Amino acid sequence: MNALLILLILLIVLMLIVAKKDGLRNLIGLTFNFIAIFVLITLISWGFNAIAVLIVLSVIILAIAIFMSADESEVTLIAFKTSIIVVLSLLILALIIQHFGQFQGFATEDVDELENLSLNVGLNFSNVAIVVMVISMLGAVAESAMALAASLSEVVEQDENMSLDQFKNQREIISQQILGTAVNTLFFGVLGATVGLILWFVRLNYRLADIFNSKLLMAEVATMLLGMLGILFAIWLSGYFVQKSFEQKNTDR
Amino acid sequence: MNIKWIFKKMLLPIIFAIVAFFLVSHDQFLYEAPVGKITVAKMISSHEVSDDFQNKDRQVTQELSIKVLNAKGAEPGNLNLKNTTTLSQTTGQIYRVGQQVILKKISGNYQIVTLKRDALIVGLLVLFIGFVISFERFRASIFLFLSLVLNLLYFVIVIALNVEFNPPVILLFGLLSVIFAASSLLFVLGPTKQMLYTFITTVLTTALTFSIVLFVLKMTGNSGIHFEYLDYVTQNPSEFFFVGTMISVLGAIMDGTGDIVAGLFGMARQNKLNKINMVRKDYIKSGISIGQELIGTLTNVLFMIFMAETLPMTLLLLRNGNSWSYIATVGLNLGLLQTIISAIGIVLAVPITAVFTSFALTRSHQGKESSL
Repeated sequence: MNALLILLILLIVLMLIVAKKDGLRNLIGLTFNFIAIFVLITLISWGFNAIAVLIVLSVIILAIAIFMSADESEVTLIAFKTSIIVVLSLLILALIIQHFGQFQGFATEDVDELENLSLNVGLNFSNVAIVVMVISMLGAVAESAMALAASLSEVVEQDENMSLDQFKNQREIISQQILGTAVNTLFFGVLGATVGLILWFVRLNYRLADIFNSKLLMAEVATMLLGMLGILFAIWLSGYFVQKSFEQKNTDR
Repeated sequence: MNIKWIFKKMLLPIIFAIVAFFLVSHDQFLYEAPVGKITVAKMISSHEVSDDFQNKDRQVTQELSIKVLNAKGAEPGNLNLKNTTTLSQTTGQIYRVGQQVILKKISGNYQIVTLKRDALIVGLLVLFIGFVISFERFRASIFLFLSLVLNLLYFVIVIALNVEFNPPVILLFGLLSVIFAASSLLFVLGPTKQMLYTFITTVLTTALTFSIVLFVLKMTGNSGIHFEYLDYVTQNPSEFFFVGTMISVLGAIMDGTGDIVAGLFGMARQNKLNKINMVRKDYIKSGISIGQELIGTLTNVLFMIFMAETLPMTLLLLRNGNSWSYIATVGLNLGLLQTIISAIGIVLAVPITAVFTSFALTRSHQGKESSL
């Protein structure tokens, strides 16, 4: 029996037992996002402009990730608006990072894998590097925008007579907590992904100069920092939107 | 939002980042290795190339003049090198005038090892630190940075131990995960009961997830899993795959358990104020309903990271005329396995945390403890 298949079935069963209807929706969302990534790769390999494909597919992936994970319409709308603005603005930063960092393609460490492969494939790997950076942060941005909008709206719902100062105070506390956990999630995610590479550097006696300028490792670090900036802006912006709607409701009363 | 606000919150971090970038661009004196700056980059040849898969590309050769910025002793002050790559830049890169490179003397000749990227990374780091301080409370920002720096320190120590003594890998990095969880949670939540429960449920969930996964892999004899395609392997690949995945998943599991425990503790506090007595079953139910909403977005975070990493290889394999089914076994196999393992962990975190925390909460109700 194929182990991957058994684990997949196990995941589906667990998801349905634990989250029932939500679980089914999550699974469908995950499948859709898998298809979206598949479409992204296919279009880029057919030679479409990678950045244009990236922008369109990012919006689709964010929509799936956010609207398929909760039904509260106000929270999801704010999270979606926030994520789109943050991701598109950080795309500009990603372009700058790629301009100075030149993270495209493969490095000498990859030489084993590249054996027998044609390397003159006529594909702009510079753009692919930007796609990798932006796709990596999509999940983290959507998650933190969602988490903040959901918890802050919940607090507002529980206390009908909340003043603006109390609201701002709550916003600060919740922002802090979500930033702390979300940044840790991303940090551990990247550490886990680079353990092998770092051990490779150490065991093969790389010079410090080669490690701290290495294309592969610094690409991971740059991607992580870009994602962390994404989390920070997403938390701030979705807090701003919730506050706007809170002020609106207060003046309506 | 007035001008002063924009300046203080937005422009100041950017200015600091640019200054940091500029300063680190001039740090060659810190380098043991020779650092050079490209002064002339002349295209000397360029011709079309194609491969067996009807891909068309252009191979270019550049003649580079490089000024060595930190030449010591017998090192030359100027170098002339040739650089050949394709317009795709699959490997290598096309250099521009003004870029700095790290050099190395290999069998008598100087070669470019890599582009100098430290200024960019430090600039980004300063940008992030600056924005966190400008948007969050100062004390909380410092706590966050301290927590990250400490985690990095534990990581470096464990790497050194691993290289020095070759201990059982899973055990060593399992221990590291426990330390990571304890340290980060202490910084985010402080030494509270809430922290303790988040920590215990995180460790329990991680341990159970990996026991299940390892059991399934053992029963099936790793069939369908291609550990041999793991990148950058210097030790047993399957063990290292699990070590990496364990650390990667830890943050997401901690995120989930943290939210559920916080929600349940908040509920218990509220109930005490309003003199409502909730039984264990109600707490379990509430815990699971908080968790249900987290599963989707948390799974997506890691899914996107794992999938993005496989992109360049998948594209290269596609352009080399490989079928999707071949790519699924070579390029995507381990990324998929990682996604599935992490999703199992995130899902398992929900019932484990709900049940464990509700036991603790209802027991302390009976004991009339007031230290929530």
